[in-house]
Amino acid sequence: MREPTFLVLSVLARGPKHGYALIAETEALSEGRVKLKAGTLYAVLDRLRDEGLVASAGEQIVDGRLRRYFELTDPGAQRLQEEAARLEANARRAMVNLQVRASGAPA
Amino acid sequence: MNAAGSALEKTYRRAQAAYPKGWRAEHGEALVGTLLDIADAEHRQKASFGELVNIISNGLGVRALALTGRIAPAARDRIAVAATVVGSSFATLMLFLGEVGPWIRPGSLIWRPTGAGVSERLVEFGPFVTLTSLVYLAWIAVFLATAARRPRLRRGLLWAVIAVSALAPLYSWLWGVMSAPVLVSAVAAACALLALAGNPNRTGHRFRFVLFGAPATAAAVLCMMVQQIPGRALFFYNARSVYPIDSQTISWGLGLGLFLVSATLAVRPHRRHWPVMAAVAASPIVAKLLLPVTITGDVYTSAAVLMVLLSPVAGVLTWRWHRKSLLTGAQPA
Repeated sequence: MREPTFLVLSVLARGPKHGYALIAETEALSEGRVKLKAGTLYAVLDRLRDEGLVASAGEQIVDGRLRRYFELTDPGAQRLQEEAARLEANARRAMVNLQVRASGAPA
Repeated sequence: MNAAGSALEKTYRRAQAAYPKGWRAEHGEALVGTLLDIADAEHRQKASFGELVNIISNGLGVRALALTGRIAPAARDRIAVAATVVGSSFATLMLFLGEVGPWIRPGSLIWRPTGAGVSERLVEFGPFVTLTSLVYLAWIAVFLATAARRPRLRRGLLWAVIAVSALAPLYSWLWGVMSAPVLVSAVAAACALLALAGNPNRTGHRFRFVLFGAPATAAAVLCMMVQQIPGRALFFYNARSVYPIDSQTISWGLGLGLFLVSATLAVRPHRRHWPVMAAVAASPIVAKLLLPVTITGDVYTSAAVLMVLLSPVAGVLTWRWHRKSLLTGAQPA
Protein backbone atom coordinates (compact mmCIF):
# COMPACT_ATOMS: atom_id res chain seq x y z
CA MET A 1 0.00 0.00 0.00
CA ARG A 2 1.37 3.40 -0.99
CA GLU A 3 1.81 6.08 1.62
CA PRO A 4 -0.95 8.48 0.41
CA THR A 5 -3.44 5.60 0.43
CA PHE A 6 -2.35 4.56 3.92
CA LEU A 7 -2.67 8.14 5.18
CA VAL A 8 -6.14 8.65 3.65
CA LEU A 9 -7.39 5.43 5.25
CA SER A 10 -5.78 6.43 8.57
CA VAL A 11 -7.52 9.82 8.55
CA LEU A 12 -10.88 8.21 7.68
CA ALA A 13 -10.45 5.80 10.62
CA ARG A 14 -11.33 8.74 12.90
CA GLY A 15 -14.65 9.32 11.11
CA PRO A 16 -16.16 10.65 7.86
CA LYS A 17 -14.29 13.52 6.20
CA HIS A 18 -14.83 15.75 3.16
CA GLY A 19 -12.19 16.43 0.48
CA TYR A 20 -10.45 19.45 1.95
CA ALA A 21 -10.41 17.95 5.48
CA LEU A 22 -8.76 14.83 4.07
CA ILE A 23 -6.04 16.88 2.37
CA ALA A 24 -5.39 18.98 5.49
CA GLU A 25 -5.36 16.01 7.88
CA THR A 26 -3.14 13.79 5.72
CA GLU A 27 -0.65 16.65 5.61
CA ALA A 28 -0.81 17.03 9.40
CA LEU A 29 -0.57 13.27 9.97
CA SER A 30 2.54 13.03 7.79
CA GLU A 31 4.02 16.10 9.48
CA GLY A 32 3.98 18.03 6.22
CA ARG A 33 5.69 15.39 4.07
CA VAL A 34 2.63 14.41 2.06
CA LYS A 35 0.53 17.18 0.59
CA LEU A 36 -2.10 15.67 -1.69
CA LYS A 37 -3.42 17.71 -4.58
CA ALA A 38 -7.17 17.60 -5.16
CA GLY A 39 -6.92 15.61 -8.43
CA THR A 40 -4.68 13.03 -6.77
CA LEU A 41 -6.97 12.75 -3.74
CA TYR A 42 -10.00 12.03 -5.92
CA ALA A 43 -7.99 9.46 -7.92
CA VAL A 44 -7.09 7.72 -4.64
CA LEU A 45 -10.72 7.88 -3.46
CA ASP A 46 -11.99 6.51 -6.81
CA ARG A 47 -9.67 3.52 -6.48
CA LEU A 48 -10.51 2.92 -2.82
CA ARG A 49 -14.23 3.06 -3.58
CA ASP A 50 -13.79 0.58 -6.44
CA GLU A 51 -12.02 -1.75 -4.01
CA GLY A 52 -14.80 -1.28 -1.45
CA LEU A 53 -12.46 0.20 1.18
CA VAL A 54 -14.21 3.57 1.43
CA ALA A 55 -17.77 4.74 0.72
CA SER A 56 -19.62 8.03 0.28
CA ALA A 57 -21.20 9.24 3.53
CA GLY A 58 -23.49 12.06 2.54
CA GLU A 59 -23.20 15.59 1.22
CA GLN A 60 -23.46 19.08 2.61
CA ILE A 61 -23.67 22.50 0.93
CA VAL A 62 -21.43 25.06 2.65
CA ASP A 63 -21.17 28.62 1.23
CA GLY A 64 -22.68 27.36 -2.01
CA ARG A 65 -20.06 24.61 -2.34
CA LEU A 66 -20.74 20.92 -2.33
CA ARG A 67 -18.87 18.93 0.31
CA ARG A 68 -19.02 15.18 -0.13
CA TYR A 69 -18.08 13.09 2.88
CA PHE A 70 -16.25 9.76 2.72
CA GLU A 71 -16.07 7.06 5.37
CA LEU A 72 -14.05 3.90 5.98
CA THR A 73 -15.91 0.63 5.32
CA ASP A 74 -15.39 -2.54 7.40
CA PRO A 75 -13.13 -4.13 4.76
CA GLY A 76 -11.26 -0.79 4.64
CA ALA A 77 -10.73 -0.87 8.42
CA GLN A 78 -9.50 -4.46 8.21
CA ARG A 79 -7.11 -3.64 5.38
CA LEU A 80 -5.77 -0.63 7.31
CA GLN A 81 -5.25 -2.76 10.39
CA GLU A 82 -3.30 -5.38 8.40
CA GLU A 83 -1.13 -2.72 6.78
CA ALA A 84 -0.48 -0.97 10.10
CA ALA A 85 0.48 -4.31 11.70
CA ARG A 86 2.85 -5.05 8.81
CA LEU A 87 4.50 -1.64 9.08
CA GLU A 88 4.74 -1.99 12.87
CA ALA A 89 6.42 -5.39 12.55
CA ASN A 90 8.88 -4.02 9.98
CA ALA A 91 9.68 -1.04 12.21
CA ARG A 92 10.20 -3.34 15.21
CA ARG A 93 12.63 -5.51 13.22
CA ALA A 94 14.49 -2.45 12.01
CA MET A 95 14.85 -1.16 15.60
CA VAL A 96 16.17 -4.53 16.79
CA ASN A 97 18.73 -4.58 13.97
CA LEU A 98 19.81 -1.04 14.77
CA GLN A 99 20.30 -2.01 18.42
CA VAL A 100 22.46 -4.95 17.29
CA ARG A 101 24.50 -2.62 15.12
CA ALA A 102 24.90 -0.11 17.97
CA SER A 103 26.04 -2.82 20.39
CA GLY A 104 28.73 -3.94 17.91
CA ALA A 105 27.62 -7.59 18.06
CA PRO A 106 28.22 -9.73 14.91
CA ALA A 107 25.21 -10.42 12.64
CA MET B 1 -19.29 34.70 -4.28
CA ASN B 2 -17.10 37.62 -5.45
CA ALA B 3 -15.77 38.17 -9.00
CA ALA B 4 -12.34 36.69 -8.23
CA GLY B 5 -13.97 33.62 -6.69
CA SER B 6 -16.18 33.24 -9.72
CA ALA B 7 -13.21 33.53 -12.10
CA LEU B 8 -11.31 30.94 -10.07
CA GLU B 9 -14.27 28.59 -10.16
CA LYS B 10 -14.51 29.02 -13.94
CA THR B 11 -10.81 28.15 -14.29
CA TYR B 12 -11.28 24.98 -12.25
CA ARG B 13 -14.36 23.99 -14.24
CA ARG B 14 -12.52 24.52 -17.52
CA ALA B 15 -9.60 22.35 -16.33
CA GLN B 16 -12.09 19.74 -15.19
CA ALA B 17 -13.15 19.23 -18.82
CA ALA B 18 -10.21 16.78 -18.95
CA TYR B 19 -12.39 14.31 -17.00
CA PRO B 20 -15.07 12.28 -18.81
CA LYS B 21 -18.60 13.68 -18.73
CA GLY B 22 -19.93 10.88 -16.51
CA TRP B 23 -17.19 11.43 -13.93
CA ARG B 24 -17.85 15.19 -13.89
CA ALA B 25 -21.57 14.62 -13.38
CA GLU B 26 -20.88 12.41 -10.35
CA HIS B 27 -17.84 14.06 -8.71
CA GLY B 28 -17.36 17.41 -10.48
CA GLU B 29 -19.11 19.61 -7.92
CA ALA B 30 -17.33 17.96 -4.99
CA LEU B 31 -13.93 18.37 -6.70
CA VAL B 32 -14.56 22.08 -7.46
CA GLY B 33 -15.73 22.58 -3.85
CA THR B 34 -12.51 20.99 -2.56
CA LEU B 35 -10.35 23.10 -4.91
CA LEU B 36 -12.09 26.29 -3.76
CA ASP B 37 -11.67 25.28 -0.09
CA ILE B 38 -7.92 24.80 -0.68
CA ALA B 39 -7.66 28.18 -2.48
CA ASP B 40 -9.45 29.88 0.45
CA ALA B 41 -7.14 28.23 2.98
CA GLU B 42 -4.09 29.38 1.02
CA HIS B 43 -5.58 32.88 0.45
CA ARG B 44 -5.27 32.43 -3.31
CA GLN B 45 -7.49 33.96 -5.95
CA LYS B 46 -5.76 32.27 -8.88
CA ALA B 47 -5.25 28.64 -9.69
CA SER B 48 -1.65 27.44 -9.40
CA PHE B 49 0.07 25.89 -12.41
CA GLY B 50 0.80 22.64 -10.53
CA GLU B 51 -2.83 22.38 -9.47
CA LEU B 52 -4.08 22.71 -13.05
CA VAL B 53 -1.53 20.17 -14.34
CA ASN B 54 -2.67 17.79 -11.58
CA ILE B 55 -6.35 18.15 -12.50
CA ILE B 56 -5.76 17.76 -16.24
CA SER B 57 -3.39 14.79 -15.92
CA ASN B 58 -5.71 12.96 -13.51
CA GLY B 59 -8.68 13.72 -15.77
CA LEU B 60 -6.90 12.28 -18.80
CA GLY B 61 -5.93 9.26 -16.68
CA VAL B 62 -9.59 8.67 -15.80
CA ARG B 63 -10.48 8.98 -19.49
CA ALA B 64 -7.83 6.41 -20.44
CA LEU B 65 -9.10 4.04 -17.75
CA ALA B 66 -12.69 4.54 -18.90
CA LEU B 67 -11.65 3.73 -22.46
CA THR B 68 -9.83 0.51 -21.62
CA GLY B 69 -12.47 -0.39 -19.04
CA ARG B 70 -15.15 -0.43 -21.75
CA ILE B 71 -13.37 -3.21 -23.59
CA ALA B 72 -14.23 -6.54 -22.00
CA PRO B 73 -11.33 -8.22 -20.14
CA ALA B 74 -11.48 -11.24 -22.48
CA ALA B 75 -11.21 -8.93 -25.53
CA ARG B 76 -8.27 -7.15 -23.92
CA ASP B 77 -6.55 -10.51 -23.37
CA ARG B 78 -7.13 -11.41 -27.04
CA ILE B 79 -5.67 -8.08 -28.13
CA ALA B 80 -2.65 -8.76 -25.89
CA VAL B 81 -2.27 -12.20 -27.50
CA ALA B 82 -2.37 -10.72 -31.03
CA ALA B 83 0.06 -7.95 -30.05
CA THR B 84 2.48 -10.40 -28.43
CA VAL B 85 2.44 -12.65 -31.50
CA VAL B 86 2.93 -9.73 -33.91
CA GLY B 87 5.42 -7.87 -31.70
CA SER B 88 7.72 -10.82 -31.07
CA SER B 89 7.58 -12.09 -34.68
CA PHE B 90 8.18 -8.53 -35.94
CA ALA B 91 11.24 -8.25 -33.66
CA THR B 92 12.58 -11.63 -34.79
CA LEU B 93 12.21 -10.66 -38.45
CA MET B 94 13.85 -7.31 -37.89
CA LEU B 95 16.71 -8.83 -35.94
CA PHE B 96 17.33 -11.45 -38.60
CA LEU B 97 16.80 -9.33 -41.70
CA GLY B 98 17.96 -5.95 -40.47
CA GLU B 99 20.61 -6.60 -37.86
CA VAL B 100 22.49 -9.79 -38.74
CA GLY B 101 21.59 -10.05 -42.44
CA PRO B 102 24.54 -9.86 -44.83
CA TRP B 103 23.20 -7.01 -46.90
CA ILE B 104 24.02 -3.94 -44.90
CA ARG B 105 27.07 -2.72 -43.09
CA PRO B 106 28.32 0.85 -42.73
CA GLY B 107 31.51 1.21 -44.75
CA SER B 108 30.23 -1.06 -47.44
CA LEU B 109 27.51 1.21 -48.74
CA ILE B 110 29.50 2.85 -51.54
CA TRP B 111 29.29 -0.20 -53.77
CA ARG B 112 25.72 -0.92 -52.74
CA PRO B 113 23.56 1.57 -54.57
CA THR B 114 20.48 0.88 -52.42
CA GLY B 115 22.40 2.24 -49.43
CA ALA B 116 22.45 5.73 -50.87
CA GLY B 117 21.30 8.42 -48.51
CA VAL B 118 22.73 6.95 -45.33
CA SER B 119 25.85 8.63 -44.06
CA GLU B 120 29.06 6.63 -43.88
CA ARG B 121 29.80 8.53 -40.67
CA LEU B 122 27.23 6.48 -38.80
CA VAL B 123 28.69 3.67 -36.74
CA GLU B 124 27.45 0.20 -36.00
CA PHE B 125 26.07 -0.77 -32.62
CA GLY B 126 28.27 -3.55 -31.31
CA PRO B 127 27.64 -6.83 -33.12
CA PHE B 128 24.43 -5.38 -34.56
CA VAL B 129 23.81 -2.82 -37.23
CA THR B 130 21.59 -0.41 -35.29
CA LEU B 131 20.79 0.63 -31.75
CA THR B 132 17.19 -0.50 -32.34
CA SER B 133 18.46 -4.09 -31.97
CA LEU B 134 17.95 -3.48 -28.20
CA VAL B 135 14.21 -3.05 -28.88
CA TYR B 136 14.12 -6.33 -30.84
CA LEU B 137 16.03 -8.18 -28.11
CA ALA B 138 13.67 -6.79 -25.45
CA TRP B 139 10.67 -7.97 -27.51
CA ILE B 140 12.14 -11.46 -27.81
CA ALA B 141 12.63 -11.38 -24.02
CA VAL B 142 8.91 -10.48 -23.71
CA PHE B 143 8.07 -13.64 -25.66
CA LEU B 144 10.33 -15.73 -23.40
CA ALA B 145 8.78 -14.18 -20.26
CA THR B 146 5.30 -14.97 -21.62
CA ALA B 147 6.38 -18.53 -22.40
CA ALA B 148 7.82 -18.86 -18.87
CA ARG B 149 4.51 -17.55 -17.42
CA ARG B 150 6.16 -14.57 -15.73
CA PRO B 151 3.53 -11.81 -16.11
CA ARG B 152 5.28 -9.18 -13.98
CA LEU B 153 8.56 -9.63 -15.84
CA ARG B 154 6.63 -9.50 -19.10
CA ARG B 155 5.01 -6.17 -18.19
CA GLY B 156 8.36 -4.70 -17.10
CA LEU B 157 9.97 -5.74 -20.39
CA LEU B 158 7.06 -4.27 -22.39
CA TRP B 159 7.58 -0.92 -20.67
CA ALA B 160 11.30 -1.26 -21.45
CA VAL B 161 10.44 -1.78 -25.15
CA ILE B 162 8.37 1.42 -25.13
CA ALA B 163 11.11 3.42 -23.35
CA VAL B 164 13.95 2.20 -25.60
CA SER B 165 11.83 2.68 -28.74
CA ALA B 166 11.31 6.31 -27.74
CA LEU B 167 14.91 6.96 -26.75
CA ALA B 168 16.78 5.13 -29.55
CA PRO B 169 16.14 7.73 -32.31
CA LEU B 170 17.12 10.53 -29.90
CA TYR B 171 20.32 8.76 -28.84
CA SER B 172 21.13 8.03 -32.48
CA TRP B 173 20.68 11.69 -33.40
CA LEU B 174 22.87 12.86 -30.51
CA TRP B 175 25.70 10.33 -30.75
CA GLY B 176 25.75 9.30 -34.42
CA VAL B 177 24.96 5.62 -33.79
CA MET B 178 22.71 4.08 -36.43
CA SER B 179 19.10 3.44 -35.49
CA ALA B 180 16.21 2.03 -37.50
CA PRO B 181 13.66 4.45 -39.03
CA VAL B 182 11.15 5.96 -36.60
CA LEU B 183 8.36 3.88 -38.20
CA VAL B 184 10.04 0.66 -37.04
CA SER B 185 10.40 1.90 -33.44
CA ALA B 186 6.82 3.20 -33.52
CA VAL B 187 5.43 -0.18 -34.60
CA ALA B 188 7.47 -1.99 -31.91
CA ALA B 189 6.22 0.46 -29.25
CA ALA B 190 2.60 0.27 -30.47
CA CYS B 191 2.72 -3.54 -30.28
CA ALA B 192 4.06 -3.24 -26.72
CA LEU B 193 1.30 -0.81 -25.71
CA LEU B 194 -1.38 -3.14 -27.06
CA ALA B 195 0.29 -6.14 -25.40
CA LEU B 196 -0.05 -4.30 -22.06
CA ALA B 197 -3.84 -4.25 -22.51
CA GLY B 198 -4.23 -7.77 -21.11
CA ASN B 199 -2.60 -10.99 -20.02
CA PRO B 200 -2.08 -13.81 -22.59
CA ASN B 201 -1.34 -16.29 -19.79
CA ARG B 202 -4.84 -16.27 -18.31
CA THR B 203 -6.14 -19.21 -20.33
CA GLY B 204 -4.34 -22.25 -21.72
CA HIS B 205 -5.44 -21.86 -25.33
CA ARG B 206 -4.37 -18.19 -25.52
CA PHE B 207 -1.03 -19.11 -23.97
CA ARG B 208 -0.55 -21.87 -26.56
CA PHE B 209 -1.56 -19.48 -29.34
CA VAL B 210 1.30 -17.16 -28.35
CA LEU B 211 3.73 -20.03 -27.80
CA PHE B 212 3.23 -21.50 -31.28
CA GLY B 213 1.78 -18.49 -33.14
CA ALA B 214 4.75 -16.14 -32.74
CA PRO B 215 7.44 -18.52 -34.12
CA ALA B 216 5.05 -19.69 -36.86
CA THR B 217 4.26 -16.11 -37.92
CA ALA B 218 7.95 -15.15 -37.92
CA ALA B 219 8.85 -18.26 -39.94
CA ALA B 220 6.01 -17.76 -42.44
CA VAL B 221 6.77 -14.08 -43.11
CA LEU B 222 10.50 -14.84 -43.23
CA CYS B 223 9.90 -17.51 -45.89
CA MET B 224 7.89 -15.02 -47.95
CA MET B 225 10.59 -12.40 -47.52
CA VAL B 226 13.47 -14.70 -48.44
CA GLN B 227 11.50 -15.90 -51.45
CA GLN B 228 11.37 -12.30 -52.66
CA ILE B 229 15.06 -11.49 -52.23
CA PRO B 230 16.14 -10.50 -55.73
CA GLY B 231 19.64 -11.84 -55.33
CA ARG B 232 21.24 -8.45 -55.17
CA ALA B 233 22.61 -6.35 -52.34
CA LEU B 234 19.75 -5.10 -50.23
CA PHE B 235 19.70 -2.10 -47.95
CA PHE B 236 17.09 -3.10 -45.42
CA TYR B 237 16.48 0.19 -43.63
CA ASN B 238 16.57 2.53 -46.60
CA ALA B 239 13.27 4.40 -46.80
CA ARG B 240 13.74 4.77 -50.56
CA SER B 241 14.48 1.11 -51.16
CA VAL B 242 13.01 -0.20 -54.41
CA TYR B 243 13.12 -3.82 -53.27
CA PRO B 244 10.05 -5.63 -51.98
CA ILE B 245 11.67 -6.59 -48.68
CA ASP B 246 12.56 -3.74 -46.40
CA SER B 247 11.83 -2.45 -42.94
CA GLN B 248 9.10 -0.11 -44.21
CA THR B 249 7.12 -2.88 -45.90
CA ILE B 250 7.28 -5.22 -42.91
CA SER B 251 6.44 -2.42 -40.46
CA TRP B 252 3.47 -1.24 -42.49
CA GLY B 253 2.22 -4.76 -43.18
CA LEU B 254 2.42 -6.15 -39.64
CA GLY B 255 1.56 -2.83 -37.95
CA LEU B 256 -1.54 -2.31 -40.05
CA GLY B 257 -2.55 -5.96 -39.68
CA LEU B 258 -2.30 -5.75 -35.89
CA PHE B 259 -4.21 -2.47 -35.80
CA LEU B 260 -7.10 -3.96 -37.78
CA VAL B 261 -7.18 -7.17 -35.72
CA SER B 262 -7.13 -5.16 -32.47
CA ALA B 263 -9.88 -2.83 -33.69
CA THR B 264 -12.01 -5.82 -34.67
CA LEU B 265 -11.50 -7.43 -31.26
CA ALA B 266 -12.10 -4.17 -29.38
CA VAL B 267 -15.40 -3.14 -30.96
CA ARG B 268 -18.65 -4.85 -30.11
CA PRO B 269 -19.87 -7.49 -32.57
CA HIS B 270 -22.64 -5.34 -34.05
CA ARG B 271 -20.10 -2.64 -34.99
CA ARG B 272 -17.54 -4.95 -36.54
CA HIS B 273 -18.41 -3.86 -40.09
CA TRP B 274 -16.23 -0.75 -39.62
CA PRO B 275 -12.89 -2.52 -39.03
CA VAL B 276 -13.84 -5.13 -41.65
CA MET B 277 -14.44 -2.34 -44.17
CA ALA B 278 -11.08 -0.78 -43.26
CA ALA B 279 -9.38 -4.15 -43.65
CA VAL B 280 -10.79 -4.62 -47.15
CA ALA B 281 -9.77 -1.10 -48.16
CA ALA B 282 -6.25 -1.68 -46.78
CA SER B 283 -5.78 -4.98 -48.58
CA PRO B 284 -3.54 -3.51 -51.33
CA ILE B 285 -0.93 -2.56 -48.74
CA VAL B 286 -0.98 -6.09 -47.33
CA ALA B 287 -0.87 -7.39 -50.91
CA LYS B 288 2.30 -5.40 -51.46
CA LEU B 289 3.86 -7.25 -48.55
CA LEU B 290 2.73 -10.67 -49.67
CA LEU B 291 2.92 -10.63 -53.47
CA PRO B 292 6.25 -11.94 -54.73
CA VAL B 293 5.59 -10.72 -58.25
CA THR B 294 4.91 -7.17 -59.24
CA ILE B 295 2.54 -5.89 -61.88
CA THR B 296 4.67 -3.11 -63.26
CA GLY B 297 8.14 -4.18 -62.22
CA ASP B 298 8.21 -1.67 -59.37
CA VAL B 299 6.58 -2.59 -56.06
CA TYR B 300 5.34 0.88 -55.15
CA THR B 301 3.71 1.42 -58.52
CA SER B 302 2.25 -2.08 -58.24
CA ALA B 303 0.81 -1.28 -54.81
CA ALA B 304 -0.67 1.95 -56.17
CA VAL B 305 -2.22 0.05 -59.09
CA LEU B 306 -3.63 -2.56 -56.71
CA MET B 307 -4.99 0.18 -54.47
CA VAL B 308 -6.76 1.85 -57.40
CA LEU B 309 -8.14 -1.48 -58.63
CA LEU B 310 -9.20 -2.87 -55.26
CA SER B 311 -10.56 0.17 -53.45
CA PRO B 312 -13.76 0.49 -55.54
CA VAL B 313 -14.24 -3.28 -55.27
CA ALA B 314 -13.85 -3.01 -51.49
CA GLY B 315 -16.30 -0.14 -51.40
CA VAL B 316 -18.92 -1.99 -53.47
CA LEU B 317 -18.58 -5.18 -51.42
CA THR B 318 -18.87 -3.28 -48.15
CA TRP B 319 -21.90 -1.37 -49.41
CA ARG B 320 -23.69 -4.56 -50.50
CA TRP B 321 -22.84 -6.29 -47.25
CA HIS B 322 -23.79 -3.53 -44.86
CA ARG B 323 -26.09 -1.25 -46.84
CA LYS B 324 -28.90 -1.44 -44.33
CA SER B 325 -26.76 -0.77 -41.29
CA LEU B 326 -24.85 2.04 -43.01
CA LEU B 327 -28.07 3.79 -44.02
CA THR B 328 -30.11 3.31 -40.86
CA GLY B 329 -27.56 2.48 -38.17
CA ALA B 330 -29.41 -0.81 -37.59
CA GLN B 331 -27.41 -3.81 -36.46
CA PRO B 332 -26.33 -6.08 -39.32
CA ALA B 333 -27.66 -9.60 -39.33
